[in-house]
Amino acid sequence: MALIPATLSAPPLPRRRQLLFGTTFAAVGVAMFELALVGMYLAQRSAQRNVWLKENTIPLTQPNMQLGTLILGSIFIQWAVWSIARNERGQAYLGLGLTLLMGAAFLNQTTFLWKTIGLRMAQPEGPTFYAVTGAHFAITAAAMIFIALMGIRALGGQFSSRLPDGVSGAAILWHVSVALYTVLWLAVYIMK
Amino acid sequence: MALTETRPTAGDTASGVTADGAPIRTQPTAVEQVLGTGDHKTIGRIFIGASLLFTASDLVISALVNLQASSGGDLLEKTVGERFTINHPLALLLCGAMPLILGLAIYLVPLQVGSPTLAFPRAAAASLWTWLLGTTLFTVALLIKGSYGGSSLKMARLGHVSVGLLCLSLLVGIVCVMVTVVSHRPAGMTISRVPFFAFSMLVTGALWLGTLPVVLAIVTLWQIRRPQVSDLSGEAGAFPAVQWLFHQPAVYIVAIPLLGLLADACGSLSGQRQKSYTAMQGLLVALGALSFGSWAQGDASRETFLWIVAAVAIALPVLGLFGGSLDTLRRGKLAVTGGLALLVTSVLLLLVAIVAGALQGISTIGSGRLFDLTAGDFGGVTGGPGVAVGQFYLVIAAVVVGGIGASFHWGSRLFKGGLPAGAGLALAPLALVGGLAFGLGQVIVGIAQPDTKGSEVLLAISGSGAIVLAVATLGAFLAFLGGAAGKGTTSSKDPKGGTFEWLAASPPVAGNFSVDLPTVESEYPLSDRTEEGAN
Repeated sequence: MALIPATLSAPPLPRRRQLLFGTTFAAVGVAMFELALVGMYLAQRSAQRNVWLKENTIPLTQPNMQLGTLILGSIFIQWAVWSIARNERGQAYLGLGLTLLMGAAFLNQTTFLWKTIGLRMAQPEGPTFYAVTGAHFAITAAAMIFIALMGIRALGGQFSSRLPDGVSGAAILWHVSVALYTVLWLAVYIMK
Repeated sequence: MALTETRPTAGDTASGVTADGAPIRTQPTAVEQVLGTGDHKTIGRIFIGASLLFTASDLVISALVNLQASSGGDLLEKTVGERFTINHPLALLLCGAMPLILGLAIYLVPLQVGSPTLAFPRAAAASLWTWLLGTTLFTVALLIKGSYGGSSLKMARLGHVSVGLLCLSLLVGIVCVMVTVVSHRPAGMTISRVPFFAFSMLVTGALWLGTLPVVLAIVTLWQIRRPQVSDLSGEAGAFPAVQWLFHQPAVYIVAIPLLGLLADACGSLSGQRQKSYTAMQGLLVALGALSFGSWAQGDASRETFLWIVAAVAIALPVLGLFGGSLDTLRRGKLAVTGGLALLVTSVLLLLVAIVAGALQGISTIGSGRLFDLTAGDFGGVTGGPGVAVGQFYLVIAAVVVGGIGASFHWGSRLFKGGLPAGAGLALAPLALVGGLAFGLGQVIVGIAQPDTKGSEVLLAISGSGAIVLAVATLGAFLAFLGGAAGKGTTSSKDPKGGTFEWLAASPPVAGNFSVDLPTVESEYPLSDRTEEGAN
């Protein structure tokens, strides 16, 4: 007995752009969340300017390197989007892999920066600082998981020039993460 | 390849038993079907039913809060009264009004845009169960000396975290609805041809995305600070930090879909097309823009020029949308149904809320020297009765009444035979009286600033209004259960609109549509087909 009837029709393609729009809307929510945290950080810093980061020093080299790393990641993931839209699968995997590498480097740099600054949670600025930077850490980690999942699905042949949405969606989340870090870099690390 | 596992013993499918004699289950049980569902209709129904039930209980708490204030604090124990006073707006909004609207959207939007399914149905199911979990945790925390104003630290933190959970669940749900509107439309249905309710949910979704993450950020930050009991509801605590959610303009983000529901209901009842479709959509966008309120968090922001303009100008799009809907109704053969009566009532309540808001805005001109009124609040330094509290109550009443009205109007889409037809007409006057008394009692206290005895009478009226509205909501819940049990009867007055939800069977089948959808060439594809047939 044939398990699959010969008359069974092929499964329909997922709705085009569904994942893309879903990611875009989710990214807007994520951006509002992070921006609200940055706003509260700035408000608290303004109210407690006399004690804010008086005991600690934030080195500038590390945040600058982190920003550069994320921007490189943006270039790589856009390369992946360009490649998958042209069925250049090898290049797409390379782009996604390099983006993940940049993401891992960024997370490593962030933990290194936290150690270097040595801010304690018990300090008045501690919880707000870690909320802002930790939330961005989580957003980047989530973007990396999304990229990895889309990479696996791309390996399974789900994305191509016919349906590049998954890779494009992952790219949007990554770009939003980079844009948010730019705000954070300026508000937390540069303006101090 | 070596087979290392024992092959499962096949049962005798013909006799319907396994080798052990146990019956073979070919279908999941009803409970399994509900718990594991990804069907937007089941998810929507649970959202609507549960939020009606929670709204009724939240309204009872609101009644107790107002009656407590009117009795000089003798009705409830002091700590219980304080806890209920602080938490009841959160419960009304996050456990009642917002999920009611979201449930309607999850149910109706795919039908309206002609989609067989909601986008990301599993995420929508996760949204439902997370919301139910959040509501349960919030209620448990509130009842066991916790949540904001509570004396138990663990329970206070539990209530605080559950607020974040509620925000997160509503966000997930609204993203599913928005994506459905944007990417599940059939060919020919441009955004400018999307039915009004679906379009209003797109606008509402944008606002929820701009508002709820801010509340979530506040909850997260305070949780990281490991707050003590006094930190959560104290003067500079977590609760005062989210109170802007209950004030204009942010309070209107839950009311925008009411205008979409009314416009669609008027179109389907009258059989007429909306004359200025694009203008009506533009008014919905304008209403959304004027409802964005994440920026108006501090007391100082409520005295700015922009805030005053938004408080007054928001009346224009609401009046325009209301007028446009009534014009459509006027041009057709008028059939007053329970659903229509309730939807009109809801917009009237919203208009009263807008008048109260405009008075607040105008009173701040000239640093409050023009005329004096008490805005009031639910906690913090400015806590107490006033116009802002009454305005919040009116908006909540409008949303609840509108949600009930929509359930009756689209009842035949929800359940076979719809909801019991007479119940809708009976509930409309109850909802109007209850909603008006609930809000106006507080509004008049804020404007007239009467002596203690006068305030007590007015707050008693507000509390009584909450009870009447709770009875109406409970009545709607029972009607909803009646509809689910098949007690509804289809009447000749049942609407037959020109949008896709009226093409589906009652109730819609799996996949929503058993017939091919006609090509969309206008905002009312079913009307096009009928007119073509007539020609």
